[in-house]
Amino acid sequence: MSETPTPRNEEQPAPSSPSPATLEPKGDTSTPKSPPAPEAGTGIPRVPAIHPEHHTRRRYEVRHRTTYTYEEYVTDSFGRALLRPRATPQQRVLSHEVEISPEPHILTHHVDHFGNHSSFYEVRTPHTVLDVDKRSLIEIEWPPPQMGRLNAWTVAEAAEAISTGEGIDRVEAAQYLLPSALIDVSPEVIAYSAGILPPERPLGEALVALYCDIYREFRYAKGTTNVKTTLPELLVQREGVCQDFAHLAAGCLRAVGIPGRYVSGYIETQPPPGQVKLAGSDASHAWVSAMTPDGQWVDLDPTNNHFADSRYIVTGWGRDFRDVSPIKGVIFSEGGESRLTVGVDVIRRDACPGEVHAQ
Amino acid sequence: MSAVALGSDAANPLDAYRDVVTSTEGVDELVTLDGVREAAAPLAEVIGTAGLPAMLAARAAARRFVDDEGITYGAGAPSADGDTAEGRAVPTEPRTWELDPLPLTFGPGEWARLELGLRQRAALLDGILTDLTGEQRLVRDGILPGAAVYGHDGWLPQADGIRLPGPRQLVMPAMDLARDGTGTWRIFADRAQAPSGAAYAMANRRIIARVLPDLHRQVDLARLRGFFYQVQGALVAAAPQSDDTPRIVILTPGALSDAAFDEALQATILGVPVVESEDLVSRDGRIWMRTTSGLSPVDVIMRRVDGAAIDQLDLRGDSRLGLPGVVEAARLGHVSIVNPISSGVLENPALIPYLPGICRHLLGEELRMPSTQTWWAGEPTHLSHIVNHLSSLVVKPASRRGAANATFGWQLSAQERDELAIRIQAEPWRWTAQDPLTMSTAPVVTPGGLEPRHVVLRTFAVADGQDYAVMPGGLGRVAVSPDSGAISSLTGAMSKDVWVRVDAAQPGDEGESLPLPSPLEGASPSGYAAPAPRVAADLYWMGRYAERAEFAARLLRVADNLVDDHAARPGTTGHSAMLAILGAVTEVMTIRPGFLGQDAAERREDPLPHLRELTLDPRIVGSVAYSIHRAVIAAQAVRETLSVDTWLVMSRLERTLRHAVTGDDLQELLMETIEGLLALAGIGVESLIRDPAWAFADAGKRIERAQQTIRLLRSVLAVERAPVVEGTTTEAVLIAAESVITHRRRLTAGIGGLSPLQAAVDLLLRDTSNPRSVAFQVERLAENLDLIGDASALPRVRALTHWLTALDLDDLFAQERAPLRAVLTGLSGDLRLIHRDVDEAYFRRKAPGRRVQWVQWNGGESW
Repeated sequence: MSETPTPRNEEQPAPSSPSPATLEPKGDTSTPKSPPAPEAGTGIPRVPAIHPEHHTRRRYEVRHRTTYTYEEYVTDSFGRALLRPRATPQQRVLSHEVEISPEPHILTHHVDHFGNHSSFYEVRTPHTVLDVDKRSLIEIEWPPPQMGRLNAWTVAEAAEAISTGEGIDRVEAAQYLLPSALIDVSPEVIAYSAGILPPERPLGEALVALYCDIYREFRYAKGTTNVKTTLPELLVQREGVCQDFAHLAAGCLRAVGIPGRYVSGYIETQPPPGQVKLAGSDASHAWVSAMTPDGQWVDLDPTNNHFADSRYIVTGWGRDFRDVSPIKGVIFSEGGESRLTVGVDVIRRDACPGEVHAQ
Repeated sequence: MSAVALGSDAANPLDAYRDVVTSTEGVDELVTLDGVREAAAPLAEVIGTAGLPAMLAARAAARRFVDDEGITYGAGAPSADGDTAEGRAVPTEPRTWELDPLPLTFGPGEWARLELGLRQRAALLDGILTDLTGEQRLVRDGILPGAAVYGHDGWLPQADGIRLPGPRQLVMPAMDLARDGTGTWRIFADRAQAPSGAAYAMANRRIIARVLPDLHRQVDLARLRGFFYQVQGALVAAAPQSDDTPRIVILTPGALSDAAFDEALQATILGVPVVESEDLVSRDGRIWMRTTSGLSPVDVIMRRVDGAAIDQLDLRGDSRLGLPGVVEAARLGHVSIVNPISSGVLENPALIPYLPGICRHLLGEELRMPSTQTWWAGEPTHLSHIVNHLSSLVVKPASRRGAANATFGWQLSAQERDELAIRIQAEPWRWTAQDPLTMSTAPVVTPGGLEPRHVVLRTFAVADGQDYAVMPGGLGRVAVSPDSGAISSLTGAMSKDVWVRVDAAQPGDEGESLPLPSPLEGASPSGYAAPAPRVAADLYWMGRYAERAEFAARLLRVADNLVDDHAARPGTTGHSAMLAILGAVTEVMTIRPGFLGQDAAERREDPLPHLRELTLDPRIVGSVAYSIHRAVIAAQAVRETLSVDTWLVMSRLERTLRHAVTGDDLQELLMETIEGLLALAGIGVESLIRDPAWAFADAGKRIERAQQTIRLLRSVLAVERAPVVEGTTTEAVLIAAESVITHRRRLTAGIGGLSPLQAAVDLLLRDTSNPRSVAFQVERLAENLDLIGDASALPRVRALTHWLTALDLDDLFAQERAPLRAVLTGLSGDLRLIHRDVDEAYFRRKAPGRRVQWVQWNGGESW
């Protein structure tokens, strides 16, 4: 297998430019003094590395188990879960089930404003442990991005075309263009995006630069950010997790007039060489999707330095994390601490014999 | 007096007023260049004939009525030392409602045109709301820019897709109007969340009808009451489909709500309860009201809290005013939220420039009623207009959250204007700008004559089948000062009644006393017969505080009498008796050191100043003024459950003590206070239905009176003194406990083997026929608990009754009365336990929910 051991797999050819010397040192506390991206038109065109084996059709089973443990008995628990994957042009949901324990008194479902599957539950059985367990079976075939099509517009042309509202969904264009609760398109974000997404840069190249630059300039570090971390803070600390990078990428897109939405889901990972993949060791994931002037969307992953492919399983999308939080809740209890554990497994279930043989 | 001189010399105050008004910009609501407006002619005639003194008298009368009915606006934060152990926190003083006696007057034709415009506006807003919370064709088809909608904080996509039954989603909109320079009424703001003021308009009308009775009778006016029937009908129409009569509640932010009076009066008129979020429970996808006898389902919530605050799960997690599950219950169609949760999106001024186009698109009509000329900076051509004309525009952020309300361009320095322009250009979709409105003027009565003030008018509409009905009139408000354009009740704006004249030839309706044509008819109030725990607690504490005040006032009166007679004669038996009663004042009111102990020598020598403090100083916890104030606060919190008479009595009570001056005789003040408290007790006995709510108020009164009586007995009669002293102290106790006449009669009739002292103790402790005795209170308490349907405290109370009857007076008086003291102490402890039982069984607040952390992406362990 060609997979690298961690999700931070360097699939990209060595950065075309700028040279590493011009990079801001990690942890630098200022906004970039000089744009880290090359001058438009002078650098080598950015071309994504396409691995055909990542774009084949395949099936995944996703298990996602969330366990809350409370010190004191909880008498009433109200929750909203966004766990059921939505259908997309690239994925079919073959089966899906959610099990909640203790059994909820009420469990309802609806499709929300953003088109995601949303569930509401109410558990009134006194409990100290609440389990939410989901299993989905998904079939995915995610073709590679059409760079030629994307590069037909410059960033400025794309923004201009979208602003006319012709040929696109104006509702989506508007709501994914405005700042949102967790995506503050602040002057710092605008300055940062200006270096990566200059007006004359072809859109396809610009999107490559977006995932590539964030990947190179930010360190992946768990525990350094939380749901309240703002983009200006992130730009100072230069480290975070996929959620932060997705927010930043969406903020950069919005700053130059391209609608950007936050996508939540999962990614298949590989264990380090020679090791066995452990149960529950996968992770949920987040990335960003950019609107194109023909009303399509292109998904890219700044955490892993490439466009989305058949290893990406979409749960839902929204303006930012808040619209797609997998589970949130309000509980009534006497007090005490609560603990949260999450286990995710993404298991390949190859039910497409033809493709298995092809490899 | 200059006022009088003006009134008599310048025979018609209107002449002076016209001189001022005609020299300023804008039209006037009363006078024209050479005469008066036709609709206002009868009013002008009254002003001309009666003159300024009569208008000032009307103004004073209006203030008095406002005071009597306890009409207030605004409420402060709870005071820092508010002790929640005994009832609720004490809010700072709300403002007294300001009402000018001169109404604004509309003729039938002018109003009909306005009404047509308002009905269309309401239908238009409804269409926009329906679209934006559903298909969003307006945005998709390019009629309304998305950025004008989605940037507004009233847009709540979490509440998308919720639909009320019935043809209209926007049930109760209000529109704020003012006239432009040409006299045309324009809408300057749409109020779609939870507009307040309709009940204030009703309160104004009721007062002005009494202040200007002749004029009110002479002019044919459209009545306001019918509007509230329409509101009732609209709420019923919005309810989930069911065979039962829908149960409706008004959800308030609490007694600290600015418009608490408006909510309470609206509730009274509609006959529905006012609830706070803690009174509600979300269960099984439905909403229930907690009552002292269990959960009762709720079908319609008329919300007075912001949409975003109504559900901590789906909307603002830090809200204290909502409850988790409301959004889902509404989505499931089990409860109807009115106005809908998302209706705040309509308050966005950025919509205004698009209304004419949307009106043509949705209704196929031209917009009838103009808005203030408004620009939205998100539209490039508008942006350049705004930036180029900043100095003549009123700049408003599209969302009200966290931003200053309005900036007046002409008040800014050149540098400030440049800075504002930069901010607008950076995020144009956030900003709107409006032409300033000239506004009309209307006269306000002042001691110096009539003064012109700028006028705004809040109008109210309500869904009426396929159409909308408009309240004939509304809430008029005028600026605080003559040159001010800023008008808000929060800044102390004065209000005006609004009269809409009807054609006398047409058969009018039957006035404000129309019987309830009720969609709610047959709705048994028993659905809500048991009050919410919070309401029960407030009623209980109202009862306790009122009784505490009365008992203290009676005791203070007795003490004051003794001081009058004996303070100057130390060493006499009278002086000793006086000291004993002063000690009782301290022990019964538990305000220390008071008259007891070494530090109190000075007070014992000159007791009057302290007795005065104990009566008048509201800062002393336990003083008469304090207890009355607490009773009033508890009453304010449950105002909709009380009658108007209650307000009259309560506000007069508070005024008696608040307005007391140094020279006032203490005896007089105490007497007036006791009279007021007796009137309150009279309402309790004569005017209130004996339902569980009443039983809680009466239970509070009974427990309090029993405790006070026990303390008085223990302090005075359970201690042996010289017999000559004891004769005076016993009589004092009997007077304070309102039982001296019975006692004397019994002595005359013969009291068996008892000493007079024993007879007094018997009368105050055990005699169940004496409404002032402890035993009587305990019996009544048992009846109250029975009415409440109680099972927890009742056995304890019944046991107490038997135990009291079995006491032997001779035993109690043995061993220097030690057994009597022990019995009284034990009794007091038992009553405290009963209080605790009642408190735990009925007044328990709901534990607040906690938000559990969101599952974060990357919560997994592997990365």
